[in-house]
Amino acid sequence: MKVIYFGKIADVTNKTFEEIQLEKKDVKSLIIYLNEKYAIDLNEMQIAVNQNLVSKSEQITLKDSDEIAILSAFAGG
Amino acid sequence: MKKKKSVFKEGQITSDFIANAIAKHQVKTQIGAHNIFLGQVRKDVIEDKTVKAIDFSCYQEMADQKLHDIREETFEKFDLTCMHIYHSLGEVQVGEVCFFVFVSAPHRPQVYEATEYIVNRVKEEVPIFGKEIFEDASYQWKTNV
Repeated sequence: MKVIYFGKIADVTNKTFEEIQLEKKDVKSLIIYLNEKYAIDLNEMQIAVNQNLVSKSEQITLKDSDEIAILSAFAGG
Repeated sequence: MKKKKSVFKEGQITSDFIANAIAKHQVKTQIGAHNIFLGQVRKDVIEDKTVKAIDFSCYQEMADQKLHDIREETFEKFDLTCMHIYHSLGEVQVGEVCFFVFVSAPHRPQVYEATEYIVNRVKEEVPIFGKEIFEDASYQWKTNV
């Protein structure tokens, strides 16, 4: 599935998107992947699925057609 | 469906742009009160390093959607004639304006409340990211607290 990165996350991963393969397609596996590959801590990231922030603690299944974005803290204003 | 307005502007929001925005409302004669919020890039000093500029970026599709929702919900909540939100993208130097909220209504109490409501929601909900660039060219990612 395609994952897009913004803000500090794009800086840490050094890319704005990537295609990743998860054995189990859910938010929990995605968090583990990001932590293992890039050492991104859970509280440094927010996850948006189809442009809505989702809970990082609930069991949420992801589909290949979902737009999945990993966002750092907001800093507008 | 109402047309989505463009909020994002490259670079600083100039005082000319703000003055023009005010001037355009002189024909809307049902308005009796305007209120404006301007966010300016502050010269913060963080561990002996001085901020020189903020480089803003955003997740455009999500930001547009959230800003659209905020607009709609603000109009539902307050009796406003019109509202405008502008935010910078790219580099904005200290002392320059990066955020402009402009609210107009027939009467005064609504515009104060609406401005505060909009500013808070934009800061909390819109995926805008800011890189604080220091005078020595190093940087850190800004976090709204």
